[in-house]
Amino acid sequence: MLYAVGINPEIADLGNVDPNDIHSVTALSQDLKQILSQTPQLNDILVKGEISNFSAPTSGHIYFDLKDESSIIACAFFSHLQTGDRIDLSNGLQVIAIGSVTVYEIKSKYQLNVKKIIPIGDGIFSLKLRQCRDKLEGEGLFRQDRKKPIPRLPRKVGIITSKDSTAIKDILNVVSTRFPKMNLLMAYVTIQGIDAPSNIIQALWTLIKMRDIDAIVLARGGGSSEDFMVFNDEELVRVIASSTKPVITGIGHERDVCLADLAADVRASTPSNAAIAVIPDFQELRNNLLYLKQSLERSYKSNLIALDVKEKAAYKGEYGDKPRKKACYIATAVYGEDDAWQVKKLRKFRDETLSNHWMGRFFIEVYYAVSPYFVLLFKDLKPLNFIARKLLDIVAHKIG
Amino acid sequence: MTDMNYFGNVRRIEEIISQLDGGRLPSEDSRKLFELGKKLIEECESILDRYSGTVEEISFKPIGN
Repeated sequence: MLYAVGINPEIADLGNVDPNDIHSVTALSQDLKQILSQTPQLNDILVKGEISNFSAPTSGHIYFDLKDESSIIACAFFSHLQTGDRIDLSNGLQVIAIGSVTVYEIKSKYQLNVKKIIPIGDGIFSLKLRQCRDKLEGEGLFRQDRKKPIPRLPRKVGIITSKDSTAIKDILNVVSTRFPKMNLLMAYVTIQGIDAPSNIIQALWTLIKMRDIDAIVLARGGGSSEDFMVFNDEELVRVIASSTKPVITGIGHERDVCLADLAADVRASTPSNAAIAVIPDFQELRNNLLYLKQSLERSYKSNLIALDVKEKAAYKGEYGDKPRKKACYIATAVYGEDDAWQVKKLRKFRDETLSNHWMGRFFIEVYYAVSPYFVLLFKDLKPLNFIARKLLDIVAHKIG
Repeated sequence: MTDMNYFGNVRRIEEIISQLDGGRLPSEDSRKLFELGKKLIEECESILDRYSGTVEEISFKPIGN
């Protein structure tokens, strides 16, 4: 369709434009696509760049970005064009892509439709990152023995993230579920772009110096690989590693690991998990205290009962204050007084006969260990007391 | 530090419970231990009660902006 061109914006209004000259969005997008396809400089060209944001969904198509120091272009490599030897493509690989620039009409976004890929080797970003990682690793910054323990009950938790980040909502959700009264300090920073590393470092130093902050969470939601480059900044990684307070990272999702994660004391896969790692479960703490309280009371009572049995029988109360070895518990309890003739005879037999023989001494030891418990039984059971008395009468007669 | 106070107390309470469970303590000693355990639990409860849920906010502007 042919449209009028060169419309003067100063005189154009609804009354004097021809409705046939008005583009729809779809028509404009289609026109753009057609123009690009007819431009020889944009078709079957060679483009060099480093792969990032690589994704290979089950459809078989491959999507990625090609980037260099200052620009980036989206690329699509459709499955029917992926002929020949299969190449292992991944983030960080430097390649030459052969393809044509076209428009993805639905979004009016231009992209490179790739027909062939020639790998060159590691890209400059990938190389730089690996060099930095090797250097810091060599200095021991990622060693496990450097990791500080995360406090199980921090006084206050510092959270460094961007003010409009989805991470904030996720973290606050965890806090309200686990420990709604936890004290927080939200430190808002720029989390993207060239200023981000120094801004995050500034926040880190401030929070490290705050006396009542016991742990620091560094969080951001998901994003592209470029967004995470901030967390590979060497100085930022060094500050995290040297922090006197434990740092927990919750940066992006599971697949994104950056140098900041390696230097952190705990690396969580998401902001929510970072919060879970440092925010204790209040109800669990309360329940544990309640359990301890009940155990303490139970143990104390058991101890008292055991003491009561032994002490009552041995030292005091209704059975006399005689030292343990001199008392004759059962007999005294049965006859109700320790100067009954049977008690005196039994005591004499114990001291003059039994204690002269090792078997007798053994019997005495066993007797003193168990008799206090019998005493308690006898006290309340009159028939048993009567039988015991009769038996002891016989024994007292016999030994006499 | 709250963490050390709180969990130090918890550890001590657990020790006291073990001591009481072990028996063979004179009644005066076990009463003292019980009182100490109760005091430590109260301290822990008071540590938890002191949290107020304050949320402070600081914005860090990039240097040079």
